[in-house]
Amino acid sequence: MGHYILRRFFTSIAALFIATIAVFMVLRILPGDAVLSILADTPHSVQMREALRNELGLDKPAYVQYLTWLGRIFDGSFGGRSFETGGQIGELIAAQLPVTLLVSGYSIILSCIWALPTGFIAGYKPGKLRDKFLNVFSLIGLSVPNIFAASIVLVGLLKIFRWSPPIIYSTPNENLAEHLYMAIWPVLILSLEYGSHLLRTVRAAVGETLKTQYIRGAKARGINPVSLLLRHAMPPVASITFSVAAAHFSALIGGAIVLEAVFGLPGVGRGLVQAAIARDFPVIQSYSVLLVGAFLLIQMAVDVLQRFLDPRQRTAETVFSR
Amino acid sequence: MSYHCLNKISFRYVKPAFFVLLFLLTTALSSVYPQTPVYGGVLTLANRGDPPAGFDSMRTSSIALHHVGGAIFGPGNLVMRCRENSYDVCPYLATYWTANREFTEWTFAIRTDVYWHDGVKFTAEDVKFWFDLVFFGAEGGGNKRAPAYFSKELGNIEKIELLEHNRIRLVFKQRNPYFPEILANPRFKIAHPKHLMQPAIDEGNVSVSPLDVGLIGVGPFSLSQYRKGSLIRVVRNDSYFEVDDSARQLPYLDRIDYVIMPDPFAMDIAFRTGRLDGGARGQGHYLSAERIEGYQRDLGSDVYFAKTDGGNFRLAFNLLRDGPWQDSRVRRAIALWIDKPAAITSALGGFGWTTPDLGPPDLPVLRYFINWPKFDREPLDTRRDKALALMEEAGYADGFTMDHLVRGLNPVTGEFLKAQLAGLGIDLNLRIVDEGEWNRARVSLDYDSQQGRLTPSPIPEGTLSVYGRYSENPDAYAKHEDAKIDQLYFDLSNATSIEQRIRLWREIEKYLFYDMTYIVPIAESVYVVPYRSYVKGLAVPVEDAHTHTDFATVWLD
Repeated sequence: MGHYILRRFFTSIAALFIATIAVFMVLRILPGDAVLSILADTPHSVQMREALRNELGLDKPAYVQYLTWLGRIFDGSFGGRSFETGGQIGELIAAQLPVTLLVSGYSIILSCIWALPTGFIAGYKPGKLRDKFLNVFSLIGLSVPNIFAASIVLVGLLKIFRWSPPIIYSTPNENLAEHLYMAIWPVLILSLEYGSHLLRTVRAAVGETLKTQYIRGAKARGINPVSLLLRHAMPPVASITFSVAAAHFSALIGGAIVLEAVFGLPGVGRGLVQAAIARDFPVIQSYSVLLVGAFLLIQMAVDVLQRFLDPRQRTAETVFSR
Repeated sequence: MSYHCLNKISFRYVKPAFFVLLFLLTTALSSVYPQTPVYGGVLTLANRGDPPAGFDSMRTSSIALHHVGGAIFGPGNLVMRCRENSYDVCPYLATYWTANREFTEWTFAIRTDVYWHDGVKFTAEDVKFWFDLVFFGAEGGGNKRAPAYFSKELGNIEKIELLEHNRIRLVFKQRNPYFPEILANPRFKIAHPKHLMQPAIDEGNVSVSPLDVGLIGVGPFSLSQYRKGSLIRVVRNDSYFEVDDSARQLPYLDRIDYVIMPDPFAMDIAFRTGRLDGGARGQGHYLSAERIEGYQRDLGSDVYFAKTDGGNFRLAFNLLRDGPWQDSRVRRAIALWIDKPAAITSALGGFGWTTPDLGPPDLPVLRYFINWPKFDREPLDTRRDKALALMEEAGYADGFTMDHLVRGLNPVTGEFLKAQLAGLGIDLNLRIVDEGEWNRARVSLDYDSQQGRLTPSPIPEGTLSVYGRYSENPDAYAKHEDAKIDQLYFDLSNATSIEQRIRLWREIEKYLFYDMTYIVPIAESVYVVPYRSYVKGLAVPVEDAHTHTDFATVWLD
């Protein structure tokens, strides 16, 4: 297992390194110019533009720019300064990351609370009315775009209650009630989509698992249904669910990006969109490292957990190693 | 009845009668005289986004900065646009100014009662430091800071001298007769305290921004809290120097909360549910007629709408790229063909003005230089017949295809033009781009036509940056290298009387919009910002939404 984790760690580092090069190159290919985005609607001369390009180091060869940025990833500033705001990227991320983590965390917790039991219920006796109902419900959850759901929620609150969520973000420590009033709406919308993925995955996994030989054997031995589900069916279902949940993590972040803007949450998603519009290269690159790193880390954690939960994978690994 | 008893009865009636009289008098007076502003209260406004470039007014003119910047850094520079008439120049950080006979030297006396928010006295040295940064940039630790984007606009500087008695002199290489009018541009805010920035520059941090040094300004409010992406909170600056007409100290408000709201839809909902006292300024956030209906439905008379002349909706040609638009008859035909009043409802959200009007009907102040749409005032049918004849004469009776650069943030203007020009046989190929590409493309020669973006200074000399030659003014709306424009602007800047100035400005307009038709002005847009009815004392500029963003005179009823 230790050897496996070490191997995964180094492949993740290599993937992260490749991702930084890819992001750097893609940003340079994209139409647009960071200097002109900064100057935006100002009547500037060509000399002024070039002087600013020089000041920001954008007149240097691409590889020098890349290495400079890479060096700044490790010097504590996490990529240097933002072209657009002039602020330290590390400080920017330190302020925005907790917001996104909280919203994503709440969404994952809420999704697990409602989607896992309902998935089990639906999968345990497929084809029943409740299964059909949950199927339709999850289909709606997957089909409704986040931005549309957000609009419906806001207009609904306005029309029915003459109320809208708070507009100034508070951390849980500052004002828990205001924090929850503000965060609950994007969390509900995100968990509707994310939970629907989980529900359908759990339903399918439970259905498949219950058809397997060893479950049928266990049933024949007269094991009670609760024990059957929790002790015998749960490990393979959990393994599949973890892998699907991790795969949809990027969709969760994508949804958060949209909803943070609508609900005024100062998170990573909103920061990333703003940076992309402004062609703020160092910020986009640093955010990309962060997101790719987080994604790789989660994938690695899920793979390790899967091996831990599912003995078949450990066996396969051992056989493969021999 | 004894005298004592009579006195008792009369006193019993006199006392209430006195209060009734007092009440009636107060009511009568309050209807005659405006209400007295009251101190206190918190104003909550939406802001389009986080101010870019570290709040550096030398780097950006973004409204996201200047909507907030007025409160922190003040509404002006040494001079400002007057609150009662934004076309006049009033003193701000200077008490008076003089020029030599040739208008090459300008001397300003700096106020002695101004303090930075950290308590340090503001002096002529700070002004010199600011002008040095503007004109020459800075050097430190082997690094170079670029001059301010507007350095050329201020004139061709020779030297900046510190004089005794807290005065400063700017010496220009050429005549600069309208320097105070140019300097009154609210974009030129002093946000650069020498005592905080000089040490950073000396250490090599030449890009040091106002944000890096804690957003220390001299404006009516000082920064209390900045949470990127969420909130900018400013509180009353108790040592602010401006006073109102009754010699009461400004500002009236205790605090302003600027809530960062990039999404106009979220702003609408928040305003309509009472979470905001005022809307954001900026494209996309300005209200359309449709959105206003929702505001009025929910809030009725509890909301009012501040209107400011916005940018001009125009079609500008790239004369440095081959195509049928090289022929002036084709450009003239396009100008004649477009149904300009239709643009107001179809492309400008229902607010604007255009030909045949000479300006908005309720013009509050005299504006000598803003009445361009006086060309092509015949009925539309007559104009369109002429347009078709011109196209035939030019050999393009069957039309042609032309690229048109469109800003993704507001594609409706492009769609309007495409629909209009289809009738003339012109296939307008819309190239809708995002903000990043828009900022690059509009200063490039990659497209056949565009609308441009830059809002120039309202004084005519300030428009050179958008009407001048491309090689000198890359952000010019039309891309051309017509040297006659330079000559016309040179003459304008050397005009010695207002009559001469107006005549020359009319000549420039005619040359640009009629004789050569480099640009087709379509309609003047009007920006609409909502405020709650209890927000009083707002100085609403007639033109240019960057003006009067200090909110020093605002109070809550």
